[in-house]
Amino acid sequence: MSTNFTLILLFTSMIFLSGCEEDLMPSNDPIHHGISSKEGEVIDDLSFAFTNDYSDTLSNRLTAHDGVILYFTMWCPVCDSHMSQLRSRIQTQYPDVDIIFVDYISKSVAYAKDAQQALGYTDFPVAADVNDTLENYFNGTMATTVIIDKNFVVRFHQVFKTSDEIIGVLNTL
Amino acid sequence: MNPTQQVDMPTPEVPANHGYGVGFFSTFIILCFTFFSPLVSAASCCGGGASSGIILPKFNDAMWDLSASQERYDGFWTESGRYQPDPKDSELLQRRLSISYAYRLADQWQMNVASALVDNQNRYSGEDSSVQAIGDTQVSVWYEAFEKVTCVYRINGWESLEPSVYFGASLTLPTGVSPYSDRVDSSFDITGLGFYRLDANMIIEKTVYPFSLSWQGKYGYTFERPVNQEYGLATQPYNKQLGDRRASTFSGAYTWFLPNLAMLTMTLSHTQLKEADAKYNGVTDVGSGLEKISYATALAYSNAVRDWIFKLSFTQAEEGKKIPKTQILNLGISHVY
Repeated sequence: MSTNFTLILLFTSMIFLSGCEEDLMPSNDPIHHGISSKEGEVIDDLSFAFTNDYSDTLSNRLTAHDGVILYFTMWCPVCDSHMSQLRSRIQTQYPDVDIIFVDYISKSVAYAKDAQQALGYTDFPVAADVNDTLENYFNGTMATTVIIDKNFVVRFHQVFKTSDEIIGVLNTL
Repeated sequence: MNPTQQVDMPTPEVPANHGYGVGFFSTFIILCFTFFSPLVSAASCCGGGASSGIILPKFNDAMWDLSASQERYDGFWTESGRYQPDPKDSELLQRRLSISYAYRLADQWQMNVASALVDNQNRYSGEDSSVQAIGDTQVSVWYEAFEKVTCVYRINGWESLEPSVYFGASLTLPTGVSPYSDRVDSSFDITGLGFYRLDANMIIEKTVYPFSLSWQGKYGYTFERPVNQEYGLATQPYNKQLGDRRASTFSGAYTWFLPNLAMLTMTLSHTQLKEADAKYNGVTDVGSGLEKISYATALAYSNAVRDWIFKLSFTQAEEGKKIPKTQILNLGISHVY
């Protein structure tokens, strides 16, 4: 039986030594490495290419709204759940906030439009990030959410967790 | 001669390969979510055939298992359960090479450990990605609540109806790459759930040759973890906990005895999985849970000595909510000694 124990020990040691320390002992210390958030930064004007063949700028959107929410979608189940919450809770409670879904994955206006229609989000503006401009600027990935106020200050730049968290930020705009 | 037959899918749980399963695949995954692999057990008989990792036959000391599987993602089910295809020009694959080892601790106790190498090959909306990493690791302990072999060839009174009953506990270690890892840039890189989880398992199984019926129940508790980054993006630290998981699998099998004394067993199974809503800093995120129903069929060939088993299985997800539709093809080999 000792041989078996040795095999098990070798097996588990291999797993533990395979470079997964940060997941085995997760920390809640704020980190200073990796990609940093733009929260608190004043950003430049941005351009959006929408799926309805219309282009617009952040400055123009902010003239007509109290703030802008950018939600990075890849049209996956998680994204659909978040987008559904943005529609049912955020849009109804905050009609003066502009919600823009950023399709960072399709790399084509036509593909982004297809996905938008297939998932039934034609009532929202969808920006096709064909050249990865928004993705690179915000380090966007699945469910990255950015809230920008009228002064171009990024008030929130994190992965979407709950609509309550979004509401908490919108209440301070 | 070892009178046992062992057929299972020891694939450790890994989340979906593009964030579908994490976070619920957080999902994913999932990861994976992903997530409880559908169980395929078959006519194990005599205390050694059910699933959840690998389970030793009653009279053996050890067993190893090697399996290769391919999980193909084909759209997903929305919150309302409506099927939604993936965007055009998408092909999502997760391949896993799984290795498991089990050994007997005592007459009625055994343990096993399982892990996998994961290969994510994705083409999503025309964009390609390829990631290889280790998956999560699972360590399990099982108690066999029976002393003698329970499979029979003929029913002779009440005693011969006694089933094999197992109680088990499995701990999943987050050795894979999760959304909260240093080593992830996008949701396509994920190979693990990112959470410690403890599963309580129960298996009830009865074989009256050539038929076999079994049920397996699981209840999984995921431990809360701190998060300070997601997909490489630093975030305000918070605590996250995935919802409890319940899974139930019914399976039926038929065994053919071949002229060379080998056995061929075919199994059909039905699995239902539910994961409750996740919590952020202790607050429930209503509506974040998921559901999945899947069916599987498996073929297992066991040689005359019953020390080598070759397995082939196919699992198809048929219904769900907030989870990808997947198909899993698994090819495995086990050696018992």
